[in-house]
Amino acid sequence: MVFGETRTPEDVRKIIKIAKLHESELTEITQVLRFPGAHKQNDNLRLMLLDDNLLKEIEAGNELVFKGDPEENVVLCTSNKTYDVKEAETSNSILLVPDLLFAASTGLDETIQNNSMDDSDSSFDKSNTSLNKSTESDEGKDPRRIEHKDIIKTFFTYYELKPCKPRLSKLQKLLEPTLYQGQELEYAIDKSKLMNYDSLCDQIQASKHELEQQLERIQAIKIDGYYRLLDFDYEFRVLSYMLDLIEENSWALDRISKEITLDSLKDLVPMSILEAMFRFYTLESVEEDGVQFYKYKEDKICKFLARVLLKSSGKFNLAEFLQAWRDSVPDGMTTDESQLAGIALIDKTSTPQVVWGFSDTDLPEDINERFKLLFQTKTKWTVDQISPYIECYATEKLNVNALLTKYARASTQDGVRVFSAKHMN
Amino acid sequence: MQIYVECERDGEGKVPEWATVELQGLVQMKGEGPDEATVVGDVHYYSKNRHPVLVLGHHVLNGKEQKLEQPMAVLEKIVVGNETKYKVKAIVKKKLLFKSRPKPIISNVAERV
Repeated sequence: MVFGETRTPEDVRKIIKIAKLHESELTEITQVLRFPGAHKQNDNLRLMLLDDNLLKEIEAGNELVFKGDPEENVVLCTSNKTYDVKEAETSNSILLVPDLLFAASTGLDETIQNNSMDDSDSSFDKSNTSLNKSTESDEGKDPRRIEHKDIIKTFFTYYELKPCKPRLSKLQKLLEPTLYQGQELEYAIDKSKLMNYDSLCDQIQASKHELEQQLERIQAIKIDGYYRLLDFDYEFRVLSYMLDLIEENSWALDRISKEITLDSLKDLVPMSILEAMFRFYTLESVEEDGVQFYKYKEDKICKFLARVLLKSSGKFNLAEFLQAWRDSVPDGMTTDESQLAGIALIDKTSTPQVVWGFSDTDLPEDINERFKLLFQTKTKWTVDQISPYIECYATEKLNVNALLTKYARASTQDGVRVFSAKHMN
Repeated sequence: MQIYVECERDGEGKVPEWATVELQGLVQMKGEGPDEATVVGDVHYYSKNRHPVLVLGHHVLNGKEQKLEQPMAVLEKIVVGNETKYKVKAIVKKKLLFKSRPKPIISNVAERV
């Protein structure tokens, strides 16, 4: 049904003539564009550019979700990707016409046959012949077919989406207030601050897949339905229990039994924590007679035990530290200075040589602030030394080297490329 | 905060495909009764080369049918009570682009439409 202003086939034919077009050159349907009445205009519509991946997600009917608090720049998430959403302007006006027919649907094929005779490309020639044609053929011809098509909205902006890194820094902060310190200290936890999966999903600007990956990476453990981080001392306590079992049972380092480990400690540590800790710190090693054995991740264990030793603030004599560190790890595991990357700094120019704890989690989040502090702590860094502290800012397009080019000054010291502050201050 | 985006499906389970018409500048309506539909112009296609031609007031615009570099989703914001969600109404993959300068209609024809 058509309401409001309409055109009759005669109107359209008249306009075709006035515009000096030739009806015989046109396909048989004319579409009359209209602004519909106010009631059919839809101001709640938005346009959003799609990449191939998003198009596939939509066509497959997968759920998309916009995420962001009022103070955050909104993102759009699929099940495994995050997109930054920006509004872009266009100088053209974009008229949205839902039912618009393209040439192929307006009786093109038939008329192509009719017109296949005059293939002349000279426009002068063409217009002459068609002029003749139109005068002779317009009379007594069927009325033109008219279809009214509504422009339901005119746009000057659209949303532009760019794949981006998930915004995960908030996760740590949300979980920080409810560190798990052991069953005996649970009474002190503010229950209102506990976060379950849904509330994290609601607050973190990341896809579900990326959120789950990050929860595993920062070693969040689901305890009684809530995600919790382990307090450092508590993690040390549990890890010590686990490592002590190696000696108690005289296990070879690649013959760790999950079953015995969990069973021996089940009265001391909740099972969900034991299982998670075992997963965080071990790898599958060998299978014998249908029994899967495990080995501890050596670098990870050494690194954690180094952090335990470096925990108290201040500088340590390097030689003494290295000795204490070697003594703290299970027999057969080897400590190495390279394992300190990202958790400690070593000054070999002082006498005696010293080492002190320096972790990226203690540094400012803002990249400028962070570089400032890094160069205050140490004036010259090699790429390997500084990488662990700035990796979190790297993206596919802007890797660590590009970050250094942007935020630091490169120079060469004793043939080694080092980076220092860009500005003197 | 999360706002879900649902997809609309037609009878065959496909997302409807809509079209856009892109013009340089702005088509303004005269302040006529807003409840009435208002004719903007006529779109015809040349049968020979499939190019669209739009007669808009006293101008003729020649354009072409173009595939969008990036397809677009048409989203509708739906507010029910205090819950907001979006719905993908359609996908736009092709447009009619009229980017050339409009040709004025010079006519001696006295009658007006």
